Amino acid sequence: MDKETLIELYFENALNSEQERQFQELLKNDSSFSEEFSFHIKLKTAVSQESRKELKHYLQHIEENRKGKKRNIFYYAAAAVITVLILLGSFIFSNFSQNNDDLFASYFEPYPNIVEPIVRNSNTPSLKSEAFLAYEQGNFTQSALLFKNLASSSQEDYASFYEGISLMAAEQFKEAKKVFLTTSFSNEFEEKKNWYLSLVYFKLGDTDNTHILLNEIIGSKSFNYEKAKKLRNQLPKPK
Amino acid sequence: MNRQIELLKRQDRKTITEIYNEYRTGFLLYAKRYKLEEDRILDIYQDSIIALCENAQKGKIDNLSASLKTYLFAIGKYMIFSELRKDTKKTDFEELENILITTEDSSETNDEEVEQLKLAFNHLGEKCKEILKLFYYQERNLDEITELMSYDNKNVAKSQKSRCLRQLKQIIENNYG
Repeated sequence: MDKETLIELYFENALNSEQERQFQELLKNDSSFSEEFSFHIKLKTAVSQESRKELKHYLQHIEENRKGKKRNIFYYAAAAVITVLILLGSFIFSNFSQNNDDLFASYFEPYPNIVEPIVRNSNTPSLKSEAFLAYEQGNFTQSALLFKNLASSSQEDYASFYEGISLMAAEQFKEAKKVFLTTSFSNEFEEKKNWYLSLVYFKLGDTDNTHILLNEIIGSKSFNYEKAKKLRNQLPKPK
Repeated sequence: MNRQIELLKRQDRKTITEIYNEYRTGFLLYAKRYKLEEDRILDIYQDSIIALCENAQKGKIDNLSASLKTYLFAIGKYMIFSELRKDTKKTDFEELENILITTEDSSETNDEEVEQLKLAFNHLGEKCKEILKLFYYQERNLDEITELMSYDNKNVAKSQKSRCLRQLKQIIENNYG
């Protein structure tokens, strides 16, 4: 039996007694074999420590996100109070803004992560996986920032796409609009972007552009055109 | 086998996250009586989760009779105790032998060769890292690796592993040789 296989069987815990005897024999009398074996033992230590370290980082990351969320809850609570006050104020003039919010909420849904499945084992936490992790956990302010960095370091269009959606979810519509308008998207994301951009226009009260874009989506039967039709029917007509 | 243990064996990140979040608060409450700082307790909690994953991977809790929570807390308790007894060096291993099988120290070594191997390992491609991780860390045999990584047969897995080892040695040769 060759030496490599013997060492392999050792680590598989599958040496039979004859092989075990041969293994011990070589270990004692063949210095190149014992050197090779010691390499594998050290490799096991190295791989284990690196894997453990990676898992630890992952857990620390969960912990950071939890703490981030707690903070977020406070911000959301504060934001909610302010929103209510503003809504109450604006209600006196019109109830349009309330309807607007409901309508937006019923159509806006963050696009699912189709780029980097989180459940997969990634060996080193990368900017990409961190960004998607934050995104999937609903930490949109954080994910927006991470995707922004990713977009500038990798030039990948999906990064800007998800950055835009994160910004929308974090209610930063002007910033979202800027990202959507200044990035050139590949076909895969272009039509999806249009749908989200139409919602941004809608949310910003830009009725003309909302209609133009929705018409375009419906006309070309692109992403979410059925929803686009429904939304168009619920909107006030452009002047 | 418990479904969660099954998923832990595959290092399923969603399951790990679920377990982490599910027992975290309980663990903090439980550990409070030992008068450790919260950051230190969380650190121990994370190490306990790692030990849980490792023991699951190695098939050591396939037939766990207690609940996962009980098992996790037992690991945590063991780790808290060894933290508290660091000075006295008196640990009751007998009681805890059945609970904590992973006793390897996760702290860094000073072995230069191990350090070189770590650096070289991180230079490998994802496929190679994965296969070495499965073989050396998760202690999977080549048959299991063939299945997990969808290789056509065991020979492909075997030669892939050999190729990765050669690459690893080459990286070390180039950098430290």
